[in-house]
Amino acid sequence: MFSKIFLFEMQYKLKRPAVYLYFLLAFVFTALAFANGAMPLDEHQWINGSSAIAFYVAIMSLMMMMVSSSVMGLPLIRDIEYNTKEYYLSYPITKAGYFWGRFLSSFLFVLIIDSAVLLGACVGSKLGPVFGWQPASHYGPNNFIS
Amino acid sequence: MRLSINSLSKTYSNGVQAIKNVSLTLNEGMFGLLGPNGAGKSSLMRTVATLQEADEGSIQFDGIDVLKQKTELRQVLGYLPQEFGVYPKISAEQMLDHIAQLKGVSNKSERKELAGYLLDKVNLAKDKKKNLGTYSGGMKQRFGIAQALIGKPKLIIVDEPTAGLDPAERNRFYNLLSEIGENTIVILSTHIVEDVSTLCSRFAIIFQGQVLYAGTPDDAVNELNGKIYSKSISKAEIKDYSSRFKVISTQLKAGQLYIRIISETDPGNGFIVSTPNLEDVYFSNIGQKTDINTL
Repeated sequence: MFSKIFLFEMQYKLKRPAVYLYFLLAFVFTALAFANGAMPLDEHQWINGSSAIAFYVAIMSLMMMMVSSSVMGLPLIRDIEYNTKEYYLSYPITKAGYFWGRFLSSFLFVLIIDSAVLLGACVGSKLGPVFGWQPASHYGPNNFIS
Repeated sequence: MRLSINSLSKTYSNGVQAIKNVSLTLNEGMFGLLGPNGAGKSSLMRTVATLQEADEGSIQFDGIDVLKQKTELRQVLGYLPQEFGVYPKISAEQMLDHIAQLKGVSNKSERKELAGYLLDKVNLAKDKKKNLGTYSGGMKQRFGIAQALIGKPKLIIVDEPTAGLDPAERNRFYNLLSEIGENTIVILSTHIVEDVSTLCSRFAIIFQGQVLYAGTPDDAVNELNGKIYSKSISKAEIKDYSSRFKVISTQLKAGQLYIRIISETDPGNGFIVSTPNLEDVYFSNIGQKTDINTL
């Protein structure tokens, strides 16, 4: 039961343009911030230093909270919002399968969207020196993309 | 296969007693529930469909205690609610596939075949790839019918299924229902009396949460043989006739007002005896409980 609802929810989510938009926005915004060094840094701090990334992720998590509520809120109220509860709940589904199937499927999407921040930081710190927006010396070694 | 409802009662938190001590026994075939709006038909059907609890009483279906073994019943249930919505961003075909999966059809090609068959039967075959959000009211209703019938249910509950369907679609649906419902119990609620007389082998009249009559349409009509009289009168006389006779209905035919009364003896007065129909049964039963104002 869980897997059927989980997979259906994924299938439904993949059709929503908002999911792609959130990912793209988070990725582009982060990549540009890291490519330009557009964040509060000390004079000798690497733009992609661990403390800078941690600080940036903390700030971004405030924005991603809104994305989370948008992605995760709907599936749990969808049957009420669209008035499909009248027949959907007459199917032989279990309470746990229904709840966890929808919840975890949405949570997986939130994780994927959130990964755009880390991916953006990685790519941005490579793009900065390539486009000449920041000198290469402002970036430390990048162990993800070498 | 048998569905028995025993002394079922339900009172809502706002004090409305929707079901009052209802007992019914249903066998294979189509069973009609007739009653005016707010009579308790939907409450009764929702309770049988395990969507709401009852305060008292029990329901048994084929060895399943419906009020306790909800999942077991849901595995053999097809339910079409009176009002419902759809997920807007998914096609009818995909949604039916998902529903068939939930109802336990695990074979993918079997599901595809089943969904295709039903969508063809409800005349949605050419729109099966379209998102449900783009469907019109009648198309949504037909999708609702398809989702209720998928997965070979043994108990089919359809709550005013033909609301919003044009006459051709209505006929198509009834043909489908009688085809699929041959070896199942089908409960059909409606306020269209004609539907019950053409489709149902047995029916019940429900009013204010109580069963006023249960039996076959033929028996019900035969009971009124020789008791229904009709007469054409002027509109001004209606009050006078209502006070003197037991008027069960009034009808306008080509601008002329006809009243139908029920009487054990010949009322004279220009009344002529008429052939009773199911509508007379309905109105005479409801009329015992309330004043029917059909004008």
